[in-house]
Amino acid sequence: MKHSDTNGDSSSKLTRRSVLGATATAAATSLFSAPASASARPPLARPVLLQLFLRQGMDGCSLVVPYADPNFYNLRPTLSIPPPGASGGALDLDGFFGLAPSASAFLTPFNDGRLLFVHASGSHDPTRSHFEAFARMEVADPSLPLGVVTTGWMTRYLNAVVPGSGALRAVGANPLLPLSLRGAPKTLPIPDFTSFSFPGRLLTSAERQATITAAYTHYPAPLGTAALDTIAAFGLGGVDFDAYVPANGAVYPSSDLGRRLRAVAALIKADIGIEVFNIDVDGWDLHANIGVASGEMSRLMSDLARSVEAFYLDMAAYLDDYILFGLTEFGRHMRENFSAGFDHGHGSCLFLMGGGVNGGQVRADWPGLFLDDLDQGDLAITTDYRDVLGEILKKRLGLTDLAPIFPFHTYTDHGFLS
Amino acid sequence: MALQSSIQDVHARLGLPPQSGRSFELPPPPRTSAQPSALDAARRAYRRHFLATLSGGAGAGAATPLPTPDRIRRDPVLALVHRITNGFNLAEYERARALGYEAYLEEQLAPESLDDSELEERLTRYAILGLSPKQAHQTFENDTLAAALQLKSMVLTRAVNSRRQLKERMAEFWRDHLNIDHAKGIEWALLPETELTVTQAHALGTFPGILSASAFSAGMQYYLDNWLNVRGAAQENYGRELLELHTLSITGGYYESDVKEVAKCFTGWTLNGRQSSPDWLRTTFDPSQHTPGPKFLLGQRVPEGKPHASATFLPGQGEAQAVLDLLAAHPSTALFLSRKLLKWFLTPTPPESLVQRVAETYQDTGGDLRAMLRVILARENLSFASPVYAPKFRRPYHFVTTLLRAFSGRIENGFETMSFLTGLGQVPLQCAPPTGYPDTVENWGPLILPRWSFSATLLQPLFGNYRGVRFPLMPELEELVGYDRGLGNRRGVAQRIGERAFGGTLAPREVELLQEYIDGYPGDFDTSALFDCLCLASSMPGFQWY
Repeated sequence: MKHSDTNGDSSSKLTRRSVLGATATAAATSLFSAPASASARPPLARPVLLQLFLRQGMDGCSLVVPYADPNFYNLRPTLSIPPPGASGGALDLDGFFGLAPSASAFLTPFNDGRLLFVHASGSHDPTRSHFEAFARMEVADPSLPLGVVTTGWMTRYLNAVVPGSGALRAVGANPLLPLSLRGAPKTLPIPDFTSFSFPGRLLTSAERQATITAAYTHYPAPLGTAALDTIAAFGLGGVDFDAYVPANGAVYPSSDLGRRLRAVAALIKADIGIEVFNIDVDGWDLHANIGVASGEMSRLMSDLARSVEAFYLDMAAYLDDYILFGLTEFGRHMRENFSAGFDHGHGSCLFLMGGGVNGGQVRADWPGLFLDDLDQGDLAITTDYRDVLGEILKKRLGLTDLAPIFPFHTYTDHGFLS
Repeated sequence: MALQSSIQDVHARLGLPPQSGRSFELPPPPRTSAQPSALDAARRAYRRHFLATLSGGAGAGAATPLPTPDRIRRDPVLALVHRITNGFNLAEYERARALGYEAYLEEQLAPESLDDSELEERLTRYAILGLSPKQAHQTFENDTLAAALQLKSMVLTRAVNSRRQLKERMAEFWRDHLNIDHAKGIEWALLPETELTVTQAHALGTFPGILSASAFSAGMQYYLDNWLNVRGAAQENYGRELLELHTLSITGGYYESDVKEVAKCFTGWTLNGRQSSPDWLRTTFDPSQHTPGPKFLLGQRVPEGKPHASATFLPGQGEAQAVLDLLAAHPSTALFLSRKLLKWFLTPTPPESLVQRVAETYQDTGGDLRAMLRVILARENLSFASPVYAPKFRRPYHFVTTLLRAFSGRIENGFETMSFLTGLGQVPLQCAPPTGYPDTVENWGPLILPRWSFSATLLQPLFGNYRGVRFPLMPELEELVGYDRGLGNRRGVAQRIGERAFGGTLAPREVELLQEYIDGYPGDFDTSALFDCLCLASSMPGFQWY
């Protein structure tokens, strides 16, 4: 069975919260005339690219539940969110898909038409290995591990556009940079934004910093460049992260993700030239005891949705200044295992949010869940993640040629963005 | 069609309460206290002069060459000390030099010959030491944070203060290769025993030995979910990582079907769920949950095997061990492990000829790790002209242990150090993915600022406010770096810091820069100034390598 992927009625779901209606309108007009109370600067020439990488296999069928699929509950009799209307049931999105109740905060941007889910999507990696799948998705060379491409796709994006004048071009908000940003110019991992300054006693700070600078000047990458980029970026444009007050009463969760998104919002508003952010969101490898309704998965989905909602509210006046997307290297197996969890799978659900996104709908060329429809027992992939990212690059970031970013991939325009 | 979502909680099967999320977040590292002090006129003038000098001079010369630890390359004993310890320490180096290269290596390859009673005595302060899973769970059920901190503190204490340094370097290697995250679920209660029976017992034993100990340890059974692997519904998490990460490697020549067959062979291995038993939460075999029938791995039938660690033979009980035997004997495993050990000790790019030689040793000796290490650490491999010896980038953990060892720190507890390791991204026993922490400059190089912050906090006068580590008194430190405050002689201080405190890791240009800083320092070259220099030296690029 094929599920029609367009939902012409999404406009009726707008304005679930009045504040959003107001701020979204403000954002829409900000391109032409900055509202007095909102953005104090003109919109960015290119929106900031913000990747939330859900690591270790996020189960897309628990987040966006295909409740109307005739075989879904046969495959997952005990570990699934019930259909809308049932106790603890999914929140209906379009008559076929429903949202996990713990992720209800996604409805805020969704109902405003700013958030789009793309289901049965992902990367065609056959191995079901996390590490292979990361490499294929982030390096985006389908011939891995024998391929010749070693840079990340975000690195190639940064190399393809005219750089801005910022001290930093990309930031990974975790201790390790993701493969997506391997080898990227002016790029640093910043796991803790609040103490990004030269340490040690003030009395000798300038002299010590000068000595350090001299020692790292002309030193080979990645160490030399990292040190000099760090020194150049000290202070992060003077943003006071502790004192930062999110707009529209947005409240970020106190989780790692919440703190990091809050800092990213502050940095985008400060306009210090950072073009790309990555945030790794860990913990989705739930082989056992997945807990879709009240356990670990539920907690993770709630944190994800509440963090994204807070960012959406906080950034309402800057809607056109970012494009946020969340993806994972693969989904999970369609059948439950005996450990009350799901093993590694294939297709999953990704999402994107920001200006230009044709949101408020779930897009899917739904492959179905009967035995013949599945890919080794997993949700098949009908939308290549590179089509989604490609559309962002073409329509929002001004790239005309995708070949250097996604080699060997024939791009199809699905109309995810306008 | 069952629509009701009845959430099973598998922990009930172990007599445990439902799990709720990770609860092991440590507070962020303390901000470096940088008290604004009054700048006197002389110092302001000096600052201007100093900055002017540097901005004119820096970068004017040729590009700094890749790290060239000449001082180290000329001295194989020094190179060996750098590679097989958790950080250069002058006294350790002088002891090694007195013994000679081969004797020092043999001593370290025979850790049982080294009296480590002082360390063992100090480890007894940790109540969690030696506890069974049941005891650990009962003792720390309501204070898992304390359990986790004690576990990590023990790892740190051993790394910094054990005399059996090579063994501890290998223990670190195994903690990555056979990674277990203490905080995915109840691993914190299983690791006190698993650390002893796997890492400590087999660090320098044989690969088949540590592989088997790991497979049947409660920690691994839980972490990779094999305890839930049962007949009719195989749980393949462990089987997959066993093939991909522990033995053959992703290119080792196996198929998805092999993952599923391995998983079947391991069905029935689980954790004891009887709370009344002294073996509660220990590994056990339940024959009723073992998948019967023939199984095939890499194209051959898995033999029934012999029972593992059990006097009574239960049907199917030998299959898991038979799988481990097959995998351990496979050439792909020998190559994978040999290459990884060469990367760990010698060079990020080991030549295939040497990989082959180490792999042959593996095959000839049944995976004897000491025999492999004798090939890897042979004197010619660490000598001046060796083509297989290349600089290695310190991982954050090694950076921290090296600084603590350089100044002969004694670990009292790991609290503050763990806070810094959190910011540095490498807390022991806390790597979530089963790969363990990476070991390349590409991964760790970009995160430089937390290193500078750690140096600046640790290296304040008399080790300032750093908590949890006891350091020698000032005269010993002055003797270490050859600085005599009484005479006020600054000459050669940078050279001595580079050589005696940091084992020759600083490049000549870095020593020069440091000496310029010392020479230009206005007024007394006091304790604060000396510590500034130590902070600077350890923040230099050279010290990031070994």
